[in-house]
Amino acid sequence: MGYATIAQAEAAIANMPGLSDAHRKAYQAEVNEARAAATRLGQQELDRITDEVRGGRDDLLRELCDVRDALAAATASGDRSVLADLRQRHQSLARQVEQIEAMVEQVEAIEADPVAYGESLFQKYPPTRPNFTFI
Amino acid sequence: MKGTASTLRTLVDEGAQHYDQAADAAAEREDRDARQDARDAAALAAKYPALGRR
Repeated sequence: MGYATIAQAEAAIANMPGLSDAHRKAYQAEVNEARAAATRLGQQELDRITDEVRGGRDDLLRELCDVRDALAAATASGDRSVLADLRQRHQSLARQVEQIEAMVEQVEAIEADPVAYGESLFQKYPPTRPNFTFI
Repeated sequence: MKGTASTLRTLVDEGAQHYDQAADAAAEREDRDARQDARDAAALAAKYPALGRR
């Protein structure tokens, strides 16, 4: 028995000449369970990111609307004194939006291949690797 | 999620456009005020020639 990534487990099966069908089937079932575990990790990360984005979304929307409206008012008045503060607020909000965009990209990548996400964790953090009877 | 990010990006872009417009408006107002100051000064100088020599 030993801990391994999915790729390592699949390679191990491929390198077992003369493996009986019964053993191959049993080992493949372990790999399939490891894939399911990887998918669960991906889903957990999706849930975490989604919660984080939703948690800050409303405040961010409100602040962006406030800054936009204040800038529109400044346009009407031609008042330069408020611009530096509004620019700073806008830049700070823009950085937060960039972070959300990066998180959405991550969500899309995980949704496209949740097993790959889990496998990347297995590769990066050995203690998370599944245990296989044939390793 | 994607819709949220898109809405936020739209607001950021709108904010940037509004900032440019506000900066242009402030510059125009300052130019206008400067021209008015110059006209006021010229009017004063015409009214009180002694001021213009000081």
